[in-house]
Parts: sequence; C-alpha cells; structure tokens
Amino acid sequence: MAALTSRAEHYGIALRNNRMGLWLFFLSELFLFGGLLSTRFYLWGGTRPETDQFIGLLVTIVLLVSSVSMNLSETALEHGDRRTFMNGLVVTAVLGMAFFFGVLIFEWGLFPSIYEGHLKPWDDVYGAVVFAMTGMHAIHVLSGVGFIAIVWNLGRKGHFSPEEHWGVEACAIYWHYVDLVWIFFYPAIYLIGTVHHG
Amino acid sequence: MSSHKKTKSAAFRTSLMVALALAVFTIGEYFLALSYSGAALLLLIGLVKAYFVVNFYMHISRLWTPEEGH
Repeated sequence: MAALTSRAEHYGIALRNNRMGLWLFFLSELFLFGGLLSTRFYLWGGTRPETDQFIGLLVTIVLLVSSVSMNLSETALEHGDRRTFMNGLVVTAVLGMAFFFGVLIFEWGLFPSIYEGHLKPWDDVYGAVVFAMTGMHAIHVLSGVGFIAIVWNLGRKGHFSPEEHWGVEACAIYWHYVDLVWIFFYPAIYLIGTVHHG
Repeated sequence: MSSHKKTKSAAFRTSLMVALALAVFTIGEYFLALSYSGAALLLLIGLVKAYFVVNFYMHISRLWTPEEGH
C-alpha cells in the first residue's frame, strides 16, 4: 500500500514537472512564431497577398475539427473509453494530414494539375513570408501527426490508463498548440489588410 | 483522478460547446473580413479563440492546480 502511495506521489510530481516543461517549450516556440508574425506585419503592413479566401477558411475548419477530435480522444481516455480514444487519434491524424496536403496543394501550389498556386517563395515579400509562415507551421503539423502515430501505437499495445496518460495529454496539448498558432496565422495571412495586386 | 471530475457526457458536451464557439468566431471573422481589413478587431477575435483553446483544450489551469491529475 505504501509502495502504491509512493508511486502515485512520484507520478504526481513528475506530472507537474512535465507540464511545466511542456509549457516552457511552448514559450520558446512563441518567440519563433511571434517572430514570423512580426515579420508579416513589418513587411506587409496593411496589405496582404491575393489568396483564395474560401480555401483559407476550409483548411482552418479542418484544423479546428482536428482539435475537437483530439480533445474528445483525450477526454474519452480519461473516462476509460479506449475505443473512442483510439478512433479520435486516427481522425485527428487524418485531418492533420488533410490540412498538410491542403497547404501543399492550395497554398504552395506544388501540384499545378490540381490547383495553380500563384505565390512563389522567391518572387516577393508576400511569397517569402507566406512560405515561411505556412512552412514552419506545416512542419509542426507533420511532427504532431508523428506524435499522434506514436501515441496510437502505444495505445494499441495497451499503454495509458485513465489515471496515468501523460503521453496522451502532452500529445493533445501539442496538437492544440499547433491549432493555436494557426488561430493567429489565419487572419494574418488571409484576412488582415487590403489585397496587393502584384 | 480528482473527485470532482466531470462525467464523460458532460466533458464531451463542454468540448463540443467550445468547438461551436470556435466555429462561430472563425466564420464570423471570415465574413467580417469581407468588409473590414483592420488588424485590431481580427486579432481580438483571435485572442478570444485562443482563450477557449488554451483554457478548455490545453488545460492551462492544471499548471497551478497540482492536486489535479489527468
């Protein structure tokens, strides 16, 4: 009994430290994304490139829904519902990849046969900034999907319980952080400023 | 696990209500931007959305409520 109590105490201490460490990591990331956001406002001012507004809204909604499925997945595990937990992870990863390919196809125009993108990173400050912002964000989306895949694999093997699932919590918080960054990148790229016709 | 933990259905309901709020603000800013291009209001909407995500999805309050487990 004493050993069990000691283990629970140890887990509680580790959990507090882990949470603090993760949020400090987010703080460091804030400088990275904050720098990109500042670059956008410094270089573009009150203008923005001509982008497809509807596609911007569409990819934003995809990422938003992925955040919901991630939260439902984490909540399900907290209540011992492993099936919803595992399914939620799969849905989140699929939506994450949909967002990622949305960036590649519609924002970067890497597949002209599907969609003709008109911004190039070397053309002007608009292309350079859009590619820097969306590129850095896309890397985080991709690493988030990798994180989800690891958690899903561990979950499949029976890891995690309602009482002890720091890995799931960290993965979920990381995913929401990716969503949080996009909450500010979306208006900065697509909505704020008057359209610059190059 | 804390004793005051919500039931599963209540937790799911909160999650979906937050999602609804985020959807309303996202669509709202989209339509707002059709006739308004200023940064202040659009970033303010972003801050409101960020509050919902940080508070309800990222559980920031768990940082200062150490007694709360998962």
